Amino acid sequence: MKNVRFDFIIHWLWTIVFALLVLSGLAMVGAKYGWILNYDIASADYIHRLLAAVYVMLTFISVAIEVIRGIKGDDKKLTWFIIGKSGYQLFTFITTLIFIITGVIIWVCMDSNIAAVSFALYIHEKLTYIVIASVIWHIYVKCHALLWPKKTEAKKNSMEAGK
Amino acid sequence: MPDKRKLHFWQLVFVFGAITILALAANYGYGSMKQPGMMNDTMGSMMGLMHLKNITVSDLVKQQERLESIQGQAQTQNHSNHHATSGSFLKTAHYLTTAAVILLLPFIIAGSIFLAIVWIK
Repeated sequence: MKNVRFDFIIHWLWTIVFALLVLSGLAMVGAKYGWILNYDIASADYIHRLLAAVYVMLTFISVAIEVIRGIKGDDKKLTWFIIGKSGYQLFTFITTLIFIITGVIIWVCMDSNIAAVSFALYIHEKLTYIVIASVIWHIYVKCHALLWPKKTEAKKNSMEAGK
Repeated sequence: MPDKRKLHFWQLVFVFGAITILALAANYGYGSMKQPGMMNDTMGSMMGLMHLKNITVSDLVKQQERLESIQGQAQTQNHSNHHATSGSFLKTAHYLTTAAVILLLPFIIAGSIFLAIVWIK
């Protein structure tokens, strides 16, 4: 437990929140995917809004950590972190910003500007499909990380540490 | 010959595929009874068809006509009346989540601009 890193925890928290956001979001998209939550659109709406706030908070924490690292000039790569300056981390960062900004437009302008809501909703939905495809690709590429560390190696490490 | 290192991926594919098929089987026929023709489309596509055909960039930023906003106010009133009956928990959750999202957004955007500058350097 001592070796569990902060970026690892954020990664899996993010994963759980994003998976639930995708499920509740797709359930609201239309009758096509309503079966995901048994056509209970009201529950999907509550779940999506509550988790969206958690998602924004996790993003805020991640951005704050990166800003602090940037100020300190810390260039060490956090392999499990969700945002970063290259590769899939950068893709996640950009798509997250688009999700949050379009989500806020939908949230705030629902009763005042239907054109803006339609535009934001269109992007929010289509981006979801792109990100789902990218997540499947990400799992495929990184699936070696799902392997549990071998007991013998863990034992060896602990014995070495005890010496 | 399948790659042994990708075995876990295919295990996940199998598990999620099975869950999806079970969920679809459990709901078989239920959705098709409920949905009228237009609802077969997704929400984004429907909104796009109905509202995005003839809009301009200025439509995205300006408020709608006065009449529409009055109608909107009436709708909002009905909306809030409706929510008032569904308990204070939802109301509190609504205020807290809205405040969290609206208050944190400027900091996230500011941080992102800062990171863009630092990373490009």
